Amino acid sequence: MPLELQLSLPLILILILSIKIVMVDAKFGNNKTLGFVTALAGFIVVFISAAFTLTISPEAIASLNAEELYSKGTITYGGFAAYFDMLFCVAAILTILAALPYFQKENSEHNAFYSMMVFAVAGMMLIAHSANLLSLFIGIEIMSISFYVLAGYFRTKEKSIEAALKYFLLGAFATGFLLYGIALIYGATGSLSLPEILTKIAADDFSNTYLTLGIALMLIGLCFKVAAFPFHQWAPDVYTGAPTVVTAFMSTAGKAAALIAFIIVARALFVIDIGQAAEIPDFQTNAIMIIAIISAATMLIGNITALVQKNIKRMLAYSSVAHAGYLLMGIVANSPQGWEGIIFYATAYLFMQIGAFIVLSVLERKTDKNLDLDDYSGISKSHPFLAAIMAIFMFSLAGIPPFAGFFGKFLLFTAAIDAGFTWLTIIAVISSMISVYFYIGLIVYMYFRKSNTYPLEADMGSAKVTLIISTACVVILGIFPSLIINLINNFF
Amino acid sequence: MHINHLFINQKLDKFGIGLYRYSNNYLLEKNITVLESYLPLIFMVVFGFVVALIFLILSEWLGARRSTAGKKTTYESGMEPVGTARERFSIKFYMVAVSFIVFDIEVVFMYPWAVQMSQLGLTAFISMMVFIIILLAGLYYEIKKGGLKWD
Amino acid sequence: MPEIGWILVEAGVKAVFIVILILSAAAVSVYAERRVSAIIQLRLGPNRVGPFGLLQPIADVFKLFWKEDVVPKAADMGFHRLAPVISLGIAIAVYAVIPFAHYIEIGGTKYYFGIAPNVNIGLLYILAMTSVSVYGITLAGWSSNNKYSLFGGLRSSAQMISYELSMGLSLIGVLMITGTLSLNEIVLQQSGWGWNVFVQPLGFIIFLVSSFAETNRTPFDLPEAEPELVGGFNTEYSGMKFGMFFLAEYANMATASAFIVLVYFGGWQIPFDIGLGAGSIALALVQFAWFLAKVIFFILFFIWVRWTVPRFRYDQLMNLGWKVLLPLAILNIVITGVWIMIFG
Repeated sequence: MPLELQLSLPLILILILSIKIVMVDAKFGNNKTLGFVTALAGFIVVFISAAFTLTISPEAIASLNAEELYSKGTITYGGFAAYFDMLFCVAAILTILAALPYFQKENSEHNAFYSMMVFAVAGMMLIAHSANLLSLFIGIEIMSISFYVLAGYFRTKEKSIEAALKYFLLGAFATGFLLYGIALIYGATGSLSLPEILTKIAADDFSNTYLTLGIALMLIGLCFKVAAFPFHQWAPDVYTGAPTVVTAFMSTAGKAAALIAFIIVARALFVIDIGQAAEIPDFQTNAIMIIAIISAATMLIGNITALVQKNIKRMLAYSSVAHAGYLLMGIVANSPQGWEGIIFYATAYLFMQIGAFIVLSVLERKTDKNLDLDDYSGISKSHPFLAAIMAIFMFSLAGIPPFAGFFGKFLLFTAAIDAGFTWLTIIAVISSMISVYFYIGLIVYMYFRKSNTYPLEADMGSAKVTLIISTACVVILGIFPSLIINLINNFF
Repeated sequence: MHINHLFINQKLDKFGIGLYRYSNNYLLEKNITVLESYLPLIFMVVFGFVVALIFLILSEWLGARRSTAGKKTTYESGMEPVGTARERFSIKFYMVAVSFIVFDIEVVFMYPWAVQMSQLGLTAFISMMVFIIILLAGLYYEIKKGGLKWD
Repeated sequence: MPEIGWILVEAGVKAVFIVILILSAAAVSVYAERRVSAIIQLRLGPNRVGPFGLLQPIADVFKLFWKEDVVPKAADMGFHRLAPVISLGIAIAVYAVIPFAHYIEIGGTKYYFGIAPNVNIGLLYILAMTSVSVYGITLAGWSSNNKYSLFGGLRSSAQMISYELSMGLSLIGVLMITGTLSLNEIVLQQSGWGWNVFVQPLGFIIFLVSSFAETNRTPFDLPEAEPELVGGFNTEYSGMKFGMFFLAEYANMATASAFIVLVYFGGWQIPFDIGLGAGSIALALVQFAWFLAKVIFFILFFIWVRWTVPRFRYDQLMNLGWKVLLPLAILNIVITGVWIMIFG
């Protein structure tokens, strides 16, 4: 099976990388940069191999017979899975580039950080590749457990420990819901394989009560993982307490992974009304309405709470909750268009949010200094470069053209309108307008306030690479969105 | 049951002594199901505990009873006992316990594979080897990081 | 249903015989231990009660029953009583799956030598029961509320769970070859001289060392280490409760020997044709004697090792378990697997 080997190469490579990095840590634990180098090289290799699988034609992949493969149909190959492999690798590369100077500054370099990053990416890649509820669950667990550890990375800081413990306890609880939901879906349809579940539902061969219950429970678990409205309470605390670079990674790649899980599940459970089934089952319309309400509530709550935050890290944490709301609109639309919107927006969001958090991490000082809005007053004088790119990220997050965030929102909003959710789009537009207030507010602080503190010193180191790449991507994706759109067009 | 029969015929040729038919024969000959064949095990566990209980009761009933305050103190090499034994003890024991849970689950995971190995073939073998490599990597990491260090 | 009833009656009758066998075997082992140790140390050993002191174990049992049962005030009475019951109960229960010989056929019905030697989970049952027996010792250590007991109990549980891993892993090599968990089938596969020890030498050595540790015998008797822990987990036990631990220890030694013989040394299989028909009483008795001879050999081996080899230090013990035996056991699995994949 050379083709299968080629297609599963990113997964095999990340597995080898995760073993390798643990061994490196065990053997050369005192050499602090070796973990960084290994992780960086490994992620680049995985990125390249994923890019190669993207070049394999979808017809060749579709012609593979699941029964003859080693994976026995538990793994999806190529397409959006390969795209997300690349995306996660990019996010990890950007994060570790910024993490190196950040942890040097905080005097807490450990190779374990890079190991956990590799594990997290391995979990995310497994999520993107899963075609089976069990491999999906395993992927989510590998990712989550790595995040629990990463959140508590500063093990002598109270806030970091608190974040880790909160995240772990609530996350374990949510995992229970997710697993129980999977069990009920298995009971209702008799299969764990997502394509099989889809055919069973299309053929009306399932137990309605248990499937509804299962979907409800799974929805709770997944909503927790994306930090959507009733289950978003952990997000601000965890994002604030965790090390800033970790937050950058968790709130972007982690969210993208949770959303791809959402898409994978939604594609199997929700029938698209063109052609496949005679009528849409009841549970589906109800579930989509519930997701729509969750989506609306998430963006409103996230943005309104972000308004009153004085701490920028916390403000960005709440805004990240709000962005989960926007992203869920793609699930509500339940169409290839919506899913493509999610992919585009997740890509754009990844660059702008990582960029914004990395700017924070560069300016941050020990014991959480320099994270308040006041500390950023007049920063454009002392750090013109940082202020300028922060302004770009803020404009993009607010959804102002010509930056990437605008096109992401545009795609999602049109998808929602096409699916008949005009009211949701109106709410989304309103909450976007609310968000403009605090995003632009930060710019006002940076550019139009007098500095009342001593000038901050900023030693960027390799974080500069991250910032330049993120800025470039936000701008390029804003001006030429077709670069990505053409690529993701044939995924669904 | 069906697959089991196929399995029997293969094994018959290999060893020539009908050992798999033997296993089935046992159930057929007694006309019981697999679960019913476990009944004697449950019986023996209960029986073993009953015998042990009889020993306990006999020892408490037959033994002399001349208790004094001195006899009732905790033994500490003839000294007055210092504090209680309900104290914190070394974290190492917890480390061993946690490692045990991880590895024991993995050992249990290997049992079904080992029993069915010749039927599962090369794919399962390679998967298990990958699993073992991951297991060994974890063990190596734990040893190197001092998780099992006693001193 | 009547078949089930008969099976239980049969099991009951056999169980009585087996319990008598185990208890006398344990008692004889105690006697053997004392005599052998005396020979090794150029002493006489017990030689007053009965001919050659043979009745000494019976005298000991009677003495233990009539001894005063002293329990410290601070002990947790419930668990203090439960612990020896678990130890002895499990030591007896393990024998449910051990085949002593093949079967005798009377009137077309086969009567197997053993309570349920044919169950398809025999080996798993023994391992499961061995794990439960850790509770007896741990609870004894904890409930006594004595520092020596606590340390003995803790050491013992850490030691037993550590060696349980390598024990379980070393058996996987055998399972890969035999493809069954039923002990009688494992024995049947070792007909002639086709003993598993010849195909699994590494696994056998690991298993042997682990069973020394599992039975808390020297060189792994740290839980009891008399000089430092004054008896360890059973410091606060006296009378027959102490005797129960003692009996359980020797019963476990016999179990371990029987298990080694069954899994690695062909069990009751007679390696040469002695011209007796299958199912005849004579053949079964010869098989039983042959099995017993091998078991006795291993019991003597256990005793011999105890009086020859010095005790380990605790860190050496744990290092041996985790850093030597565990990787070796995994290596054994890999070698066996590759061997089967290439030649099997």
